[in-house]
Amino acid sequence: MIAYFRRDFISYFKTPIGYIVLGIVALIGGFYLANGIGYGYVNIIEEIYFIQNTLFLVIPLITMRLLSEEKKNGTDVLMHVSPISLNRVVIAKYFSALALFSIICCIIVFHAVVAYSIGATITADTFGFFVSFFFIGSVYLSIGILASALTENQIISAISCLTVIFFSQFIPVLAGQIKSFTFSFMSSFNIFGLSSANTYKIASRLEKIILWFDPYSKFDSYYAGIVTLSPIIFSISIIFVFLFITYRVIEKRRWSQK
Amino acid sequence: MNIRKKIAKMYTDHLIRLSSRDERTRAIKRYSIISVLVVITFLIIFNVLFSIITDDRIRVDLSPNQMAKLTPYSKELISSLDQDVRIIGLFDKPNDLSQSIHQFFVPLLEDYEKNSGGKITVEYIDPSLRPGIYLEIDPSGNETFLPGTYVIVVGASYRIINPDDCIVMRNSYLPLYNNVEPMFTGTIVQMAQSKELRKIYFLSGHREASHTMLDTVLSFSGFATEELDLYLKESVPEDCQLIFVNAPLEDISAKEAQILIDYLRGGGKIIFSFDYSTSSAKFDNINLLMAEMNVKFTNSIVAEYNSNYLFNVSERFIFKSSIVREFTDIKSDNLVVGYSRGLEILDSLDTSSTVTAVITSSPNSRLIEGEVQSEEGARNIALYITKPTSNGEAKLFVMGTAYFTSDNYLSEAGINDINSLFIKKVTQFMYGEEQTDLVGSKPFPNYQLNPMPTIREQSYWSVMLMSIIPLAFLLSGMIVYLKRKNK
Repeated sequence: MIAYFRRDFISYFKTPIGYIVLGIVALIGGFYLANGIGYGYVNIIEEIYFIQNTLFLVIPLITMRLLSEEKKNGTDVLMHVSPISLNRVVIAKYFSALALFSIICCIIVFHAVVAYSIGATITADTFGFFVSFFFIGSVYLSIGILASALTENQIISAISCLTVIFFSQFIPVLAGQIKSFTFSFMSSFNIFGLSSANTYKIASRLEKIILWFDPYSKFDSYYAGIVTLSPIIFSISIIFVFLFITYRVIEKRRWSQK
Repeated sequence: MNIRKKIAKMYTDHLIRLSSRDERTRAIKRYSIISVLVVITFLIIFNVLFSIITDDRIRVDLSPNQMAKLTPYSKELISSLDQDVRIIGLFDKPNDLSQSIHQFFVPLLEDYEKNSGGKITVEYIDPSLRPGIYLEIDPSGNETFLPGTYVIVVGASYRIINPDDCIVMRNSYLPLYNNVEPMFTGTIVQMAQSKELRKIYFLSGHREASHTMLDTVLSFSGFATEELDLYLKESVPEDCQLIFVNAPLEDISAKEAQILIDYLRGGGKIIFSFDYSTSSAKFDNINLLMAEMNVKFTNSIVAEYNSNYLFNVSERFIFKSSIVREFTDIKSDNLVVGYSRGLEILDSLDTSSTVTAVITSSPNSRLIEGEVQSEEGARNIALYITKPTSNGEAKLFVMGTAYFTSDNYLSEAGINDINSLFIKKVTQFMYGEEQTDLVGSKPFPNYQLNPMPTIREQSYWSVMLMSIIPLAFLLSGMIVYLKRKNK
């Protein structure tokens, strides 16, 4: 497992991918910080938020080749016959991507240190923001690794990962639309003969159920400085689900002889 | 024939092989789907149970100055409500709190709900989806509600709270103070508190300045205010601990003056502020009251001639002043004084009273009355007078300016202005209680760089952060790419 982790992690730096990813993040974050220094106003939380909004571009770059390249080169057979189980291979690959993502986090920490050294205020809620950034990035990585397992084409893998991440950011909008639609529909046709207030409650509940699956909404309290355990548990669960699906996809491919 | 048989056999074998493989593939697929569904179901149940069991009890407040958490005083107050309180946000609860002003409200309101023992409920209702909510709050339909605001409903009464009023901004973009908790606790307590609040009476009937902002400031310290019209009364109410006379434009009657003098003689406490806009008016009865405590206010106005104390050199009547006697822990020489009447200490035979100058102007200021100017010298802006009586100590706090109490000033400067903090502390002092902020404002962290980097430092960090570090990564990537290409 460690061998797989080491091989995949080092391969990020034997190809330009790792450097490009780090360069892009350093440029985006650096631009934001340098701009703040110019104005005499630096809030690292805003930089983290800014970088978080670009994750849908960065994460596909990290994950696109993890499994698709194995399939393309035919080296996935080695995985199938490897003495370690496939789920460990998937976990090793995920952690190699996570290690690169951790270096991205280190760039943010470096920026925070720079900001602090020149007299900026770093508040405790920055830590909450940072934790939410890390876990949201980790969830996206698990989505990326699944996308990579589904195809042997890196471009298709990257695009599908990007699409899923991009649209996942619209879950709150979708939930709001569904709420409006449900309320209008039930009010117009007077379904179940409910009062306006009760219809609104049902529509709101439906919205809440959809929002329950949104990692961004889960971390809402973090943005206000309240750190709780449930969003972290939720993120780990989502990561587990996607890694499990990835494992099942590879396992199915192994035994279906396709 | 043989060939045909052979082909038929090959085809049959192929079909058998295919069917067996399809069956296996289908079985694996079925197993995969079921196992994934089981895992998802298990994790959903686990997460729901975890949320229910922990109910976010494991919760750390990292917000600056614990903005997302109620102070113990608020908790104590809302735990003893005897009426149900409904807080309605007239908007859809924002899904991305980080980009919304409601990030300062939503977590705090959750805390209100949790700590009220079921007395407070918080709802977010989008009026565009449920327009009936307006009539539900105000059956008369007279009120104009703005979407995006909060409404606190207690029984048939309600109060609207505009989120913008709770955040004090500098230059309309830099948040300075968070007043969400003082505003909500103050309002809820005023509307639904069962226990008796500490009451301050405001004298009325003499065109006094309005004191809505001052009420808000005082409500943060748990004070309720009530109007006091002495015209038809023979004495002040029994429960009166402190009377505020807020910049009257008309003199009080002789009878009222006598009631107030009697009140002082009985160990009463009065805070008095003056307004200069009626300089020509006669205030004989008020001066009668003042004389009781050995002071007098005049028709002169204080003009500052030291440019270090002026905000604008062409405006000598608005200036900075300092607290001479430490009433409070406020260590500031930036109190804003404007259009202050001169206050004189009388050379009375009555030596029992002690007069202390609390705020004075600079030694270069003068008193001006019409065309007449006094000599340069420090002028009294606020005086504190005590006098022993048979029923305790009479206390009078007099300010020559309305800049500490009137809505005109406070609504412009904000409730976290140094003047409003000062008057709050003075009120607490006069009331005779510990000088603690019960539900105070919470200052936002200041993200401005201190000290401001020099141009050289700015250039250095711009080059370093935007060019050298990113380019180092990208160039390394290019070198790796070229090496691989040449292999």
